[in-house]
Amino acid sequence: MDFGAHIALAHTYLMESVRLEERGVHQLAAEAVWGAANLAIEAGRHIRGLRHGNYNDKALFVAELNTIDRPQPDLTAGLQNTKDKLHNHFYTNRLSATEAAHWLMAGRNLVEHLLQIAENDAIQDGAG
Amino acid sequence: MLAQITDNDRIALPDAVAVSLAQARFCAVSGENGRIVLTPWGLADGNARERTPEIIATAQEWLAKSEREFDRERPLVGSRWLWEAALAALTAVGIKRGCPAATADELLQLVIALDQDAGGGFEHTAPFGVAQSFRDNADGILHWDDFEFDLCRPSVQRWIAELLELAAPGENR
Repeated sequence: MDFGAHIALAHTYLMESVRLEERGVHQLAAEAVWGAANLAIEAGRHIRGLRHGNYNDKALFVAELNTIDRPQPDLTAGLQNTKDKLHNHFYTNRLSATEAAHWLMAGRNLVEHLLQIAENDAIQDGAG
Repeated sequence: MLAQITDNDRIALPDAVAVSLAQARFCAVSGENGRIVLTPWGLADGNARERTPEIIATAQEWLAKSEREFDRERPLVGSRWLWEAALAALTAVGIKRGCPAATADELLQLVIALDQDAGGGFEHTAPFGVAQSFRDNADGILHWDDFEFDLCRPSVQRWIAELLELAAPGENR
């Protein structure tokens, strides 16, 4: 997939997660956010010429965003929570309703930040 | 009456007892499904605020203990103490705010309130979630590799230090 396809699919998964949460299907909503996060990271990696990576590659990439980009939330913690809370919830159903609602919101916030960074990088890349 | 427990003691109580204790705010709670850990301070005797310095000192001690365990390449033990330090720090912050948290949802509500005070981002809930992941590793629910332990420790350590500043007696920050 190219950059645009990653971005488009990430947005699709984000919207799907909202739709699923509204239907009360928290486990699937959680996995949709996890998928969107992975796509947003891959989009950012694609712009910087990096190939598809495993989780540690992605986590390292996000950790570097924390240090080289403008001030922003703790993306490393955000990604870890998206994996350990949302992705884990998909197959364990461990989160309470309160927890699920919070971590879904936090996960979407992370994805939006990652998409913003990737899209800004793409603009700069195009301008450069 | 709370039992005085040592560093390595863990007491699993039946759900009903755990819930009762939690509701009475006798103790900080960790673990899942009603399994609780009695921390070596009691908050039911009306002197919670007086004991805040002790709780803060305990959190600092456990944070240092956690670091030593990581240095000894015992990440699961280090993870346990990191979580306990976070829980102690949160207990102290909760006391200062007049709402010590006991259950998992109460803890989350407390850190959400801290987020709101900090500007509405995820300044506290994000490291809180990671601290819970350290606990889940110690409990054998998650299975991080060394990379994840190393990557995630700094943000939780910084956060606990920040909590301890928030909890310190004096003017509300």
